[in-house]
Amino acid sequence: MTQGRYPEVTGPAPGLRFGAGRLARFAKGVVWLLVVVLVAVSITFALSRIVPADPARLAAGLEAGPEQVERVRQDMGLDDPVMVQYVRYITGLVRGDFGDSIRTRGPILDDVVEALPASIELIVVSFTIFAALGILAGAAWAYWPRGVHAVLLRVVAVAGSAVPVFWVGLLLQIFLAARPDWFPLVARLDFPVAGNLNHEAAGIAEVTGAGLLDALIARSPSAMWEAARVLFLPVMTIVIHNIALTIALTRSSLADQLDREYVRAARARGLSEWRVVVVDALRNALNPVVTMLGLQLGWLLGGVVIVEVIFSWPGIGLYAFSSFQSFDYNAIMAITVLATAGFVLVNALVGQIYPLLDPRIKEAR
Amino acid sequence: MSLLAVEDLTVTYPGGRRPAVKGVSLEIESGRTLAVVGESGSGKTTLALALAGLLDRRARRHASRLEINGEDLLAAGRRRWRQLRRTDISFIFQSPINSWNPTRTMIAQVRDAMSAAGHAGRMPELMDLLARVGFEDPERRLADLPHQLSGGMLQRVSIAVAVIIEPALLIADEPTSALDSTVQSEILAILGELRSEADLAMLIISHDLSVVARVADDVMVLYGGKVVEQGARAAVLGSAVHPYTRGLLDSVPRLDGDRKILLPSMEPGHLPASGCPFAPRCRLVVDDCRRVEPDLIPINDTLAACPPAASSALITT
Repeated sequence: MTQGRYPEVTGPAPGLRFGAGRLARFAKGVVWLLVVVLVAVSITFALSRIVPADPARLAAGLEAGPEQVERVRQDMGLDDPVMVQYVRYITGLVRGDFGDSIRTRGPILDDVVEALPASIELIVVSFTIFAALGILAGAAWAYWPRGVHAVLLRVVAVAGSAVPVFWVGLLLQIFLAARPDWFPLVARLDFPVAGNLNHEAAGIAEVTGAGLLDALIARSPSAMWEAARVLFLPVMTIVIHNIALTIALTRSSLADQLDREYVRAARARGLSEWRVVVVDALRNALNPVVTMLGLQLGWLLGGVVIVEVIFSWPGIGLYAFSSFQSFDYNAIMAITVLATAGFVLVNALVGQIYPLLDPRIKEAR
Repeated sequence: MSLLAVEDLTVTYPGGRRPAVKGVSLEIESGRTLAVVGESGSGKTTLALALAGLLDRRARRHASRLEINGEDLLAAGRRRWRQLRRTDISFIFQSPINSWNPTRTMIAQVRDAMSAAGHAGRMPELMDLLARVGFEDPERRLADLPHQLSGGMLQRVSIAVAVIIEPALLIADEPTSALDSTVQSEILAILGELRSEADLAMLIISHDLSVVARVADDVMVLYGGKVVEQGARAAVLGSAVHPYTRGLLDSVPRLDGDRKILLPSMEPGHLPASGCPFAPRCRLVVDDCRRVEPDLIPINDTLAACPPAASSALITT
């Protein structure tokens, strides 16, 4: 840069930075979230009416005669005009009513609330592990670009994302659960129940529905060990599949930062390598990594279906899978709404992290 | 005894056809300033980095002697070099905006530097020094991010942080080339003043002969990683004999518009594999120049690596 002077950026006075502007941004975010969810709901609703399957027929059962099917159709309101059904569905949603399930005959909301903790547990544990390990491995690779670990990481980075997730799951089941039975093959077979751990067998109360958390609340080390064992294989599957991107992006981003002049200047001022590499360079390098992790977390909300099916994990993914099989359209729509809202929410939260990493962003907005 | 003594320093980067710095020897005494002059790619920045232990890890450095304050640093490890940079060697970089982490406030980075050097308690002193070098209202302005300050302001912070540790050796790599000419002048004045107060040895790198004329005691001209001419400032700027130095001097724009013959331009990086690196652009070139790498020999008042210049100097004087 040959420029001599740099433009002075004068933001609003310090006192004005919070308050009105922040509130307006927040309101804008909420409106945006609602619009995205409404669009997703509308598309799913339209699709559910186009698909050539008859929910009334499925709900009435295979032995039901035509009159019975017709009665069920009227009960479910499926003979009303599509627009009426649409408005009824949306007003229901606003009241928190997702409709009833054809399969379990109960309100969808109850089923979802029961299945959600197990999925959240699986996603949170997997995400934390692959984000932390991925950043660590990627940073080490950028700092020490040559060596045995670099070759290993290259293999992991390519293989991890290239191999399909169901294949990883099956291999883990064969080599860690089937032959040496170190880990349970599947979480539980008697679906649908909440939790990924047999609470009764472990002798702990079901508080949250997430096994690890309940064991922690019950202060039972043996139950925690059991919950961890149950979690291990599905978590490994998700980690192996997702960690590659984190490693690769952290590596290239940090390598780019380490080549910058400010890194050399910090070293010239006698700063320790820890300060230079972690406090200065890695923090700057994390910006794109955070973007990608946010997207990955969003994808996981919908992407756990396969993993939950492989390991019979009694979460929202397995619930979705069973609902697809029986064309339980209310359940499918509810899951779509949840996944969409979750995705938008996660990305909104990620947007709050950027200014912490790079204060110039706060100013630019 | 010289504060900095270097003999036969050679630095090679992997994949480089020629060493970036080849067989450079130099000495600087306390209180004196050596200016290293040369165009981009002449190896002057590599030389400066090598003297502060800041070379890229892949670079290979060889020397027969490398001493600072009488301490032999040929075998010094990274830890020792870092310690030296905290206490004895300071470095000022060319681009002030790139010398600071863009995402952290100046005060946080200045504090980091001060505590690394073991001077965490001397922040008030630094504030005074900043005010003295024309950085107004340091307590408030340092809370800003680097891009909120001007290049001249940032370079003042770099200089203050560099000199407050009272280094024995101050290396400044083109400290003013990224600045406006008025700011350039102020920065040079500050550097000169602080240097004469502190009695430190200074190595200043520049391609700008007007800068050299203002601050240097001695001048060394690099071309293609080799020293082609060196001597006292007056001798090199006044009666240089090497055709490259002459070319540099003749390239300085003059108000009277009377330009002499300009150096034939050349794409950087296309240096000959053997012989004198300047041979392809030289007006005095003879066959021997392409075969033998010339050594520095005394010609008139300077040392120059140019045997043909020696013979023509005899004729012209």
